[in-house]
Amino acid sequence: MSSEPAVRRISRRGLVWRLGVTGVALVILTMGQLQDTNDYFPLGSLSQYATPRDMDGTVRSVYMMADTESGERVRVPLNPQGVGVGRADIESQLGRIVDDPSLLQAIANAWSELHPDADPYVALYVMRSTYQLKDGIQQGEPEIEQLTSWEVRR
Amino acid sequence: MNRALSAGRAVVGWWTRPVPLARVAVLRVAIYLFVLYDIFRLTNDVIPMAHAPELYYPTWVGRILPLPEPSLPLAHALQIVIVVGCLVAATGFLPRLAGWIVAVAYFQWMVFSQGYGYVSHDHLALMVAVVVLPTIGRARFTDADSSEAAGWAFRCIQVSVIATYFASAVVKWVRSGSPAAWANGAVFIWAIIRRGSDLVRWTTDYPWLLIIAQWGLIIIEFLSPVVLWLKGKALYLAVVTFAGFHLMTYLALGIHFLPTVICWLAFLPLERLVPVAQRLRDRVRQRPPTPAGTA
Repeated sequence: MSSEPAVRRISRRGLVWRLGVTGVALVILTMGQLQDTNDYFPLGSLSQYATPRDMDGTVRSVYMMADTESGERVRVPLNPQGVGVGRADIESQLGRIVDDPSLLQAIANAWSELHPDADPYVALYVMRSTYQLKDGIQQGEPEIEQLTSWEVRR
Repeated sequence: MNRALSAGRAVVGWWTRPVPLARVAVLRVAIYLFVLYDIFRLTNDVIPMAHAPELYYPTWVGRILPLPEPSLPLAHALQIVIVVGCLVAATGFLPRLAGWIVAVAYFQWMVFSQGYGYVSHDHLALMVAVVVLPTIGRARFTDADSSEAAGWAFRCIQVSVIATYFASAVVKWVRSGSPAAWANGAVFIWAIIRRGSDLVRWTTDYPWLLIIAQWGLIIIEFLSPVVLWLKGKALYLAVVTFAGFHLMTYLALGIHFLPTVICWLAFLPLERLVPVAQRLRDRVRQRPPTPAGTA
């Protein structure tokens, strides 16, 4: 027969390391917020949608286009089913990519490797659309700019 | 001096308030099975991104620890280790060994998944859960005992769930200069223009509505730590409120935060599911076998 439910205590040593680890983790997490950095992942900043946006500002969105071998201009699917790397990855590394567009070769390679039967990319374009807001309302069509491009090497 | 001592005891007691081992057994099933869902459906970019290793740009842990570079064989190996480890750990067999293997492999998986520039913010509680669960040790569905070690692990998961909201309110403050500057801004408009579903696109014509929603969000984020002290119906209401918030962001923006949502289970008396499951099992067993023709 089972006896009365008991409480299993932690040893003093077990308590000390647990509280120590907790303290260190909380300090890193707090620093992550105050320094506003993702770099301490998984204890970095929880900055989802934290950037304030101006009611009279702009809404910018990065995307990628590609010329394919058969001469079509297509949108590059920036997701796990497409080229793996996501739109947010490209936006986060935008400065690095504009400085060194050869990094885009990796996108073309990933596309060909992940979709061997698909039309391969021969050129890639990093594009940005910018909507203007006024009192929070979209003003007309977005402005489109090309940030950089890359001739794919075979 | 005495007061400091009793305050210290209260803090330690709060961090290690005993939790029934049966609750551990149930949560373990949920977390380890969810990790499988995660690596195949949510962070399933690790294998395709291994085709673009040039774009790997890891965060601090990835740079400071001697971790390997992403590659296809490694990504596939991690996937296999996580699958086997999770299936074993979910059963409660070898809870420490299987749990630690999953923790290490899943950590490396996540460093890859989050190592290409964008870092998502919905995995804090799940990663903490995977790290603290192996520290509990054996816990059976039929265990009547409770444990302080389990109490600490559950508290860590609960605190990381709440930190996901509270810290995000703090960062909004840090980045905007004041909570009001964030709440009166155009964040939701910005989000909906960029990735809003047809269900909510109309709201961009009514910025005031979205400002009210922004105030509502930042207020519940700042108040979220209260949940750690709620009990009974108030606690259930809080869980439903936050789960409802995630459902709304999923319908509006396709952002679900499921890895955080699953960790809300650590707030609930999961051990009550055990007798329900046992009754179901008994009913299935008691059902007479198909008649063999003789009596």
